[in-house]
Amino acid sequence: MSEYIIETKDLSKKHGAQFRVKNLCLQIPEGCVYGFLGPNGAGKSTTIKLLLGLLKPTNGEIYFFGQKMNEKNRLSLLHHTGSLIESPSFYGHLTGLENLQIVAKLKKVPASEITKVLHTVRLYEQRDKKVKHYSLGMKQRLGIAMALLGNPRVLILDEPTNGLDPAGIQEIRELIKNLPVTHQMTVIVSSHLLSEVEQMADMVGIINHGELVFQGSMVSLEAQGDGLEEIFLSLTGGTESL
Amino acid sequence: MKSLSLELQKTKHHGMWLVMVALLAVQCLWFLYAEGKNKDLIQGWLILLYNFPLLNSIMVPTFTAVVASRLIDIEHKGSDWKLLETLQSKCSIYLGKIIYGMCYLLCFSITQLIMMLLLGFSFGYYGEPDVWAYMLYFVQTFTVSFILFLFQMILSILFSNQAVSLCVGICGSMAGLFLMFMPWDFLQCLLPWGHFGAAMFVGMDWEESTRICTYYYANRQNHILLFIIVWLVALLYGGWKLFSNMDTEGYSFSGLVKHQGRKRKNSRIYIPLLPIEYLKIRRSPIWIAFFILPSISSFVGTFNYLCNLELLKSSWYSLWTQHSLFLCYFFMPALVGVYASYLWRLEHNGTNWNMIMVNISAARLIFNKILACAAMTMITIVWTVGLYLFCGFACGLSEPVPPELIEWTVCGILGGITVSTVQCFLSLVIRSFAIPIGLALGGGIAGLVATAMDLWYLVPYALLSIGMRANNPNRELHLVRFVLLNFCFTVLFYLLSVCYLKKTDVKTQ
Repeated sequence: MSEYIIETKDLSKKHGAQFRVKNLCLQIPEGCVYGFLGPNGAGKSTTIKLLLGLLKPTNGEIYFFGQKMNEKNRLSLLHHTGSLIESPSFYGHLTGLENLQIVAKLKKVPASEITKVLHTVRLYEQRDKKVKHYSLGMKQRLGIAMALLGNPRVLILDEPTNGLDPAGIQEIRELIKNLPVTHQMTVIVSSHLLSEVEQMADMVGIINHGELVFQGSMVSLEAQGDGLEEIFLSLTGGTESL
Repeated sequence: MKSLSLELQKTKHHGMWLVMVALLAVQCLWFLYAEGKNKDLIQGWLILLYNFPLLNSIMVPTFTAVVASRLIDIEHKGSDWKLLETLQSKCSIYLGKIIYGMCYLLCFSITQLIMMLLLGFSFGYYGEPDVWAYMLYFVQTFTVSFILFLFQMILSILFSNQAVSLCVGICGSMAGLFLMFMPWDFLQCLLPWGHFGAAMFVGMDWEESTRICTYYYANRQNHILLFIIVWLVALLYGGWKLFSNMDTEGYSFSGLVKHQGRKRKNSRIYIPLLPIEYLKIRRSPIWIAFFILPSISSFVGTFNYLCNLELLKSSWYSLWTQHSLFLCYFFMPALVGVYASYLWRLEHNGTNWNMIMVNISAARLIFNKILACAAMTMITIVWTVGLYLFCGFACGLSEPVPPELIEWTVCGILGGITVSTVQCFLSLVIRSFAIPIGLALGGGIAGLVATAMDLWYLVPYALLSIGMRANNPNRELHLVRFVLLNFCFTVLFYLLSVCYLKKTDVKTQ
């Protein structure tokens, strides 16, 4: 029906009198890595929460796999997604493994999946440690493992490399780049780091003050001029932040 | 002063004052209800001085627990200790918290005093209030509340899991009530929860034949002053010692508990069959609360029964009233509140809402929570009944166990489910751990008042005590109506919760 795996039409979210997100028309093709860029407070997390139905949109529609999302089919559509939003969710008094067991039960996936994702994010040896004793990077890895659980069609990661060391960033970057090839996943990665998105994404959407200022392939963005940094800064209003 | 204004700033949008207003409102309503009908104008000013310490000893321990927990939990939640300790000295953090609590309780004591005077004048009690007596009362209320606050504050700091300090607060309320009436003077002085009772200087005599109460000034225990001072110094100093030894990660008890971390390396990977809500509360200390609270209640209940054998003549039935009365009205609702708050706190923490809401429907999630909460309540009730049987046999009651016991238990469990649903709703909407528990205690008292006015069917909290036939095992109960009422309340609050969760945006911290 639609060539896009996720599409939004005039998606808006008002908070009080102010628009957090305004008339957003995202078009995300299947099998790509979609980099979602924007300065701090531009509305990235709000958009992602809207996509997942965690926030109720003031206006606009969301299409997943060509189907319009509503209250009834929300969960069955989201069943094909995995997500990590803001920062990882976890129960600190339980071990990493126990946390994954809970998510696996919720997603109804078999135990072999847990083993797989634990190896993927390299937490297998740390699985019996309580999560509150994990380091920031380990919590982030656990969050990614939870998102990967069940081999979803769409993976949504909000600033996935937060708190990781350079080796970890490199590792996760390689993982994200390979997912569309090895697992036929579509990955949406939000970030405020241009360099990071540059190395991973095929498609880019740039958001500023809740509005989409650019959407297209990485190649077409690069074709716009000098360096990516200049393009990004000029699109998002230069040196001002927030 | 600076640290005090900082504390005020932190608690700005925190509804601290609402807690106080709620407490005073409940006390005021209680007094209006208890003394409004048969006004004893001559002894009025003494009646006030008799009733309020009693109310304080029941409510203030939980009240201070809620306040202290609110004050400390803001730092635990945002792991703010790390930041604070780089900006402020430990001493000024500690002093700031203490001064805040002091001012807060000063406000509380003053407001309560004014309220008492207003109540007295509006009832038109004869004569003038005895200034010295009321001043003394004010000083007592303030000091004892402050001691309790300090105690709770230290607990809240030490155990980042606020369930611990709140359970202690509820146990304290219970202890306060029992110590008031028990002939254990020494214990009353020794334990801070007994201080309200120990410091009370108005006594009451009840003439059974004429049904007239006489109130009088009594010099009860002057040495209480000594105990109060010792507690005050010990808590201030001990609290400071404990706090200054705490590191920013929170208090570590690993030295006390031997090698708990060294278990189960390389555990097998499988999908557990147990329900998810159970998996989440594994290895939580909440189980302790279950066993301790009913145990205290039944111990004291049995003791009371054995002391008053000449009055309580109907063996098993009398024992049942002693066991269930206080538990049902005051403490079971609060305990259910702790369960519900604990269950929802798991989701209110961090960004957990993001994860849970993309994986499970609102209706299902709430159903699971209520089920978990109701199951814990059920176990508590069964445990209470077990204790009752044990105590009965231990006392050597020779009559057969009353066959109605099964009905009491089943009805109690039904009522418990209703209270669980209400508390689950409150704890879902109110993100604080402590406030819903305070509301539960208030609700239990409201239930007691409603029962006395024969309006029990309006207050869901009353269904628990009515179901268990607390205080009156012979009460006739229309079973069908009772079951229907429970059903209606349960469905109503379930639907309210689902609506709330569906309509509102997910909020994470």
